[in-house]
Amino acid sequence: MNVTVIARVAVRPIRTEFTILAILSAFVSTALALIAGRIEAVLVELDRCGGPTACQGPSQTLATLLTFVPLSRLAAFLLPLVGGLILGTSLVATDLDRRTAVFAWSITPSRSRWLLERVLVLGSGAVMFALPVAFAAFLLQRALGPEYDAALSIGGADNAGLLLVSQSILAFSIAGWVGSISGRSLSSALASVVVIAAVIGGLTIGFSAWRQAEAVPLDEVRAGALVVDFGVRDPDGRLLSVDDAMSQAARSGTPFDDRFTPVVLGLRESNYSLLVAGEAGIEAVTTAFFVGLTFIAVQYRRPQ
Amino acid sequence: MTFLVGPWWRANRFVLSWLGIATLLTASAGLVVAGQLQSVASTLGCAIPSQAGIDDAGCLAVPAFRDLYAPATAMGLLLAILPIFAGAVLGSQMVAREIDEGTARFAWTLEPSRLRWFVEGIIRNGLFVLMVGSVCGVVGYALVATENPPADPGGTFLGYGLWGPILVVRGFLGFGIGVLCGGGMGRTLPALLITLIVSAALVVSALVAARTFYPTEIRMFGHGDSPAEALIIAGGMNLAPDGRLIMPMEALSHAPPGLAESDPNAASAWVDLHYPPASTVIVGSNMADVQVHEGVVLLAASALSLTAAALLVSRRRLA
Repeated sequence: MNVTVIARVAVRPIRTEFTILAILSAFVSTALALIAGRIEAVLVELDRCGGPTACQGPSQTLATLLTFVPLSRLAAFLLPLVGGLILGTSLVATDLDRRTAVFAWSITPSRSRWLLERVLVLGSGAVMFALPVAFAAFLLQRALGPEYDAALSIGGADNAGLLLVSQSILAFSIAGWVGSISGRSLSSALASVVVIAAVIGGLTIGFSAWRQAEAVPLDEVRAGALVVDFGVRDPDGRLLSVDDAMSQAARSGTPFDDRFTPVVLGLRESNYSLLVAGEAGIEAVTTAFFVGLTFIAVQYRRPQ
Repeated sequence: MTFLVGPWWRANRFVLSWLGIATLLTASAGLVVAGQLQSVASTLGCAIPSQAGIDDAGCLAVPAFRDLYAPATAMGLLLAILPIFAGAVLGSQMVAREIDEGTARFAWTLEPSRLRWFVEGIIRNGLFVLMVGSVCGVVGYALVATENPPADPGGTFLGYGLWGPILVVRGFLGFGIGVLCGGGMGRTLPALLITLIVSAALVVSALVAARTFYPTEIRMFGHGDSPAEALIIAGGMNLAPDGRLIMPMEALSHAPPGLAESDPNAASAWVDLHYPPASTVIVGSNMADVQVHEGVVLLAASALSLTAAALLVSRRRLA
């Protein structure tokens, strides 16, 4: 079979899901790109306006635009995961649920070949839906300035473009594996939500610890850098947490601002890019692990 | 009763268990956090700024309270989402799963009529949605109340939409839309996706529409303040001497020439004195009415969806 036929066979039964995800992906990425463009334009206006009266208008526009940012970032974080979840559930569970798996397996050379073709087609679909959102999230982040670690970020989500794509594929592989065991579409989608939350939540906690360990004081916080934490330096140049510094200031009775200098802790642009690449690599390995489990489950599954 | 519930439970045990456990876990965690918040607030005797009896520092200045506030807010949001999600899941699978798995013909022949099968399904699943919504509504109330000591959310817009009977109504809305989408599409997953999108759009529209029909009042409070008992319709404005609400930029344009450029703080003080900050709000005493109207609109949408779904099921030709 040629590639077009393989893609058509895999996509046709779930064309409704594909259409909904395509519309959602286009809507969210367009909204993010528009907000990013407007924020950049308003920031340029604010640079040029000169004087509080003239700047009042752009300031208000910026404040209004910023109210949309948390929801936009959350949508950018969730949509690739939902795409991965839906396509992953359709990888094996839909055929088992409809009892078409036996027929489908009987017309291919092997079950592994059947699964490989579907993983490639539907996995590409998950990437296709995540890519525009990831690019638009990158544009929004560039407009807003530095990225913040998940624990500090607006909407509680890290919107690094590469991570959005790798998380989508990871969600796809987990849902595929759960579906191959459960064999029921809705049940496996619900169970996958729990497993995806546990795996991605665990990885995020691990990544945060890694980022904390790599963080250094930043002299200048520019777009493309990652802010991990905020701290202060005491007069001797020692780095302290804000809470420790506040209790020291309260004990000594010295005003906080006189005694301590604020410090931003994080990663510079190049280091952050390298770290994101490393994190995406770990997610890719985890993805490969779950895809491997899916192959084993499909290979040994007794058809209903 | 066992005869009615038994087969339904066996056919849906995974979905029902998942939703039940999710509700119980979230509600238990919510109650634990609410208990801890109440204990901290009552020990310190603190309040949340903008409430009656304001403490200068407020509870949010206390680290023990502040550390609990973020998880409490997240749990409140989860509790608000759970009923509509439960309704959407149960609704979208009720008819769609039978069609998707090819068991609809058999299921419908077991009952005297398709309509009877449909109504029984609505009652069983509807009761489950009612249960989830009620638990979430009650625990949501406890969370909102303990997050904002010493306020009582009842009869105010404090945490509107995060507690109370409106959560049950939203659950029914998700259920109604889900049954219609599932019946129409005959596929569970796409029906669930569309149900969640349509339900969210309807909830937001009903909220906006319910606000539109209520008289608003102009209240004066500083920019950035948000009196929790009222629902702000247009915030961050300034009150002109002729009683009109104007934008801050327009108010600033009336300041003495050059003042804004030479001394922005003095200009801001001049504006606050002559054009005090104000907002348009719906007062808290209207909350019950707003909730009833929003609820009626959503229940009507749910009833319409169920009626349309009943027609679809009774006339559907099976492959």
